Amino acid sequence: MFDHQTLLCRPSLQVVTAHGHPASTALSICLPAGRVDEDDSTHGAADVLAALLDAAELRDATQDVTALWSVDADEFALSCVLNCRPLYAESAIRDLANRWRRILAFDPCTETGLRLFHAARAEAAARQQGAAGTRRGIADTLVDAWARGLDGLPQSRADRTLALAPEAFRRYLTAAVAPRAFFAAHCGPEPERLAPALDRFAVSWPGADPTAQHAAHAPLTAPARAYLVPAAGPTAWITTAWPSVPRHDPRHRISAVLATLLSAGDGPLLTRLRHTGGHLYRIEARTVALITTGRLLVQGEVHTAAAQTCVRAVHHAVEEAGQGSLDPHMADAARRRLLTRIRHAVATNRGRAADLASAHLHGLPPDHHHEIEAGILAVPDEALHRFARELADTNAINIVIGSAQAAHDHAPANPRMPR
Amino acid sequence: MTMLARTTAEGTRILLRSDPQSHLTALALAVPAGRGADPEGRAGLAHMVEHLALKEQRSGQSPLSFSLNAFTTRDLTVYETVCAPEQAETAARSLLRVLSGMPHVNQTVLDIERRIIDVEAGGVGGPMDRADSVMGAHQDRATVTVADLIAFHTVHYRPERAVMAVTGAADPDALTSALDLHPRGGVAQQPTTTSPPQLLRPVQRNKGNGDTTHRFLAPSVTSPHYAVAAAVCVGLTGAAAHHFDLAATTAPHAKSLQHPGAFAYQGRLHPGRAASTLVLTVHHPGRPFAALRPRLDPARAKAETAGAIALLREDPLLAARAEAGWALYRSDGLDGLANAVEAAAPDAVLACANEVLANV
Repeated sequence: MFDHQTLLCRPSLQVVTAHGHPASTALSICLPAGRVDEDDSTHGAADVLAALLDAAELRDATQDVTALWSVDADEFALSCVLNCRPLYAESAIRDLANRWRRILAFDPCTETGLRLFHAARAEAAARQQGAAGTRRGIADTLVDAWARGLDGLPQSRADRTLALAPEAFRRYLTAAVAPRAFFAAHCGPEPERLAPALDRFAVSWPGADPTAQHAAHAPLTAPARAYLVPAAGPTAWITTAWPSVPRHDPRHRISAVLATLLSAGDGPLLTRLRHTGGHLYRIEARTVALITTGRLLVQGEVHTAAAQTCVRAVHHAVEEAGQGSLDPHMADAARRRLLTRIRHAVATNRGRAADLASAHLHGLPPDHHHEIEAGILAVPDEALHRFARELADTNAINIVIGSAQAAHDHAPANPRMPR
Repeated sequence: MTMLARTTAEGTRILLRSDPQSHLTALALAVPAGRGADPEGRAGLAHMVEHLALKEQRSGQSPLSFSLNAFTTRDLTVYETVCAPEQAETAARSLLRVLSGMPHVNQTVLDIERRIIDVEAGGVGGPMDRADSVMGAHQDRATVTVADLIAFHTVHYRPERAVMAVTGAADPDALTSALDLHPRGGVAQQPTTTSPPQLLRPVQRNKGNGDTTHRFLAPSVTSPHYAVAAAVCVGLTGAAAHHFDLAATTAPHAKSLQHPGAFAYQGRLHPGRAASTLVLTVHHPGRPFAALRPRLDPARAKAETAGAIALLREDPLLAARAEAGWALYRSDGLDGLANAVEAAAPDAVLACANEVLANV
């Protein structure tokens, strides 16, 4: 189903390729340098690098504007994803290689460099501000801080990024970026046509360190937390999160099936909170599986007056699952839905390339889908019960973002829900 | 990937396009009843019917191994799913069931659904709780009765008005046999439209949020000039093929919402029968669309539009959604749009783009 082969193997760049649809080329290039490589003085450098790489000034003036790369920095890597017509892929790769060469030579302490650095820093801060300014963003920031053992909202990422000094950014480029090797995944027609451009990219890059070193996963024992964050508006945003497992952990698939079951249209949460109560439109349960850790989150926008009822119902659903009350038909439907969702995510060239690159970053083999598909179907009901029981016994974080009314639940009592 | 046209015994058109590369089957059922079909004073009725028809479909059924979703636009309501190939028949029957009436809708069910839509609109007084949105305003929804819902469904959800597209790993023969489909004869009915404007005309311009948004009245989808507008939209928004709203969806690219600065330009062409709307958004006020003028290449814009259509077909769900939606708009469907783009005169694209750029 997902065949692949190595297209290029150089110390600074390894490229795998997979057959895909003939009408587009997708290429995902990752450098294993992310926020995890920042320290107090280089906070925000990964995001500034992404903004700098994306800056119009660094692009080749002759480059086709219709073959844009999307550039994104996360905890562990900087990823550039191209999705364009095959005709433009070669020139797009040349453009990206040129941009990375300019990053290598970038000196934020020169007049031109400083101007570009200031613009990229402002851009990165604006993106962080935009992401963190939403109710989901506030909740995610609180959950992230909780997972790191912190209490409450840390200082705004955007404010800290705006304080990044040019010298510190240069230090980040030298220590965390230049020594690293790229990994790329291609999906689309005629990979051999792109090989020369990718090879020139490889030759121009000095780094050879293929992986970032990350601390081994330790079981997360975060304390229980509950927050009510005041926010204006006619609805409230609820979030409950539990510590879970990283993506390479075999229990990740159990966690994913449980999350699929919890958020299914005919699952316990939507049945009680939407179809019976009318308290919400959508509630999403999902696993966030990082390299070293993970969590299971349930989030949704709800009627303010029903916020506490909804949070209780989330916990109740997990407790019920832990007590073995899951409907076997529903569990089976959840396994198959999850399989479909995974297959759908890799249905396009872009999705397939992104998945191949992500698998590499997480230390999974490129053909991990074979194993995932078999593994998901083989998750026994008892494993789901056990996992839910472990969650129910673990400290969780509960967040309600909304007006003061969200703290006082006036929703009609549902006899099937504990108060 | 030849398109086969079939019909159910009740008259629903079924379009089957199998893709041997796909491992999934996608199905989309389009009904020509969107916000524009709402009666006066009942804004949001089409959207409420969408909710309740989907709920009716699930009534008394066992857990499904696939997710069913639906959305309402100005012209259409679309019900859709993506599933494993062996579930295609069950999925098709589930979607067709939304056409078969709403016997379980009563006042209690309606009241609960109103509360659900209140949240979907961002709460009473929330951002989408407006008379001009597909959800309508709270006070409009409050006046809707069970009789209104049933009457709307009876008029607009007639099987012969709907189209279902099946794409991806579909076996046309197996589905034809299982659903007792028949070859479809004759030419599909073309919807009548008013005379469309030939070129884009600005109808609104507003600023807020740090972004600049330009709205234009664009030609109807049944006009040959629509293909020109499509090429202008794609040409002006660069590689935003995935932003190009061929399928009449309202879901924007998630990343552009989460990271407002991530994309400098965003263009969306919302198709419409009487007239379409082109919305251009600049996320960086310092980099206006007008700056693109020297880079606009009509031939490339046309090629990119064709590329956007090809990209839609990579994802079976987007492909099914687009095929079903476009079959309601024009008898030659998405293929017809691709051909019209191919045939658009470069001079017309350039003239149209210049007219847009003169107004941004």
